[in-house]
Amino acid sequence: MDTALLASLDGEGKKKLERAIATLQGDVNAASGVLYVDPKLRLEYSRRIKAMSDDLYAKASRGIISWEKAAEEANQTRNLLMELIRYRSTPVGKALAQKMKAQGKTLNELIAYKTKALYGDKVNFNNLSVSQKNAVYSAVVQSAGKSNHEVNIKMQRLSGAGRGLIFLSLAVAVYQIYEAEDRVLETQRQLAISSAGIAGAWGGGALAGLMCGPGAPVCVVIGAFVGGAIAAWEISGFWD
Amino acid sequence: MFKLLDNVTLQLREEPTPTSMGKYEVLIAGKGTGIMVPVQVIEAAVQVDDKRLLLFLTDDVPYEEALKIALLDLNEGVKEILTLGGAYLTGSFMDLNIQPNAVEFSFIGDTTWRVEIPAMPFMKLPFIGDPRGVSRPPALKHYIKITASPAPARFDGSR
Repeated sequence: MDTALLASLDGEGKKKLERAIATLQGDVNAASGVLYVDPKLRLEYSRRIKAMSDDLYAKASRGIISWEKAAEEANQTRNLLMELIRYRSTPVGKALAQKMKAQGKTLNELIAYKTKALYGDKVNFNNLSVSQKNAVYSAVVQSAGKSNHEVNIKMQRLSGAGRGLIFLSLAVAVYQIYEAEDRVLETQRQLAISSAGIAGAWGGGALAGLMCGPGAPVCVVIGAFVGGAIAAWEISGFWD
Repeated sequence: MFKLLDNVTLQLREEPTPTSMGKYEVLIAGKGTGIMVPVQVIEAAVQVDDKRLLLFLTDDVPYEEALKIALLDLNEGVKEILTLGGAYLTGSFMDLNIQPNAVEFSFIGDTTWRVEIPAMPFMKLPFIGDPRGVSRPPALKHYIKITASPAPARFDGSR
């Protein structure tokens, strides 16, 4: 990197520039944190609902539990897992998940939906034979193991972008450490900037979420960026 | 004048993979059109005029369902696809009401959604102008107008 431009800056100007770079690093770290955490949680969610559904399917197939019971458990566990993953998401992920009021199907509606899909419009579930009813319950259990495929693909792509940002952030940190007179001190400073950026963004996002109410992703993203930038700026100043 | 069709079906042509959506061919009265859509269930098919169709599609993921609204031109293929919904959200396609120049339905957000096809394509800036919960790919020309009345509700019921 050509540092001739930096040479013309006086000590004060150089410090300001370093703090500005730290601010940018803080936000890059925050963005990479979001792009790391939410896709990872998404993968966990997809795996857990599939494992839950497969487990209940196997139990019902072996006669350990009834198909009806398996469908009830799948419905309850699926909703619980969704809440759990939402709870663990970053403020940005949480705001995106809360942007709309869901209009899901109750278990009975789901049974009616699957009855229609399997046996046609005019069939009443109560008039089905036991084996037909079990086929409907089994379809409900299998549905509980499915996640939105398009969201999964998008999350995979975001995860790739997150890895790219982590690489960028690491490259900048390594360069700064390499160029520093006191590399131990600079390493500590870089660690502090990264941590502050992520923590600041998390706090800023959460605070914005409280101020704007649930389901306001744009507000939360702005809060996260401002929080990450302020935290990184302040921590960088503390080091000076 | 919009008209509900009951002879439109889908047939799997390419299985979804971990990195790509599936491909399902649109059939009309059992005859292939060569037009592919990315999801597998037709909730409703509506004829817009003699060469255009509006499809309301889902992907059989009832716990995390998104609705795709696709405008097809039988000569030119898919003109535009809108998505309603998102991660950890689900909806149910209900209350379909077909009007002479619009389709109304409910799906998500505790509201009535209305879809219209303007006579001329229109321009719009990405990310703004559509009601909350709607996403569409950026493009120079758009074909599907979507509104919601009242404004879609958030998770806690606020609008």
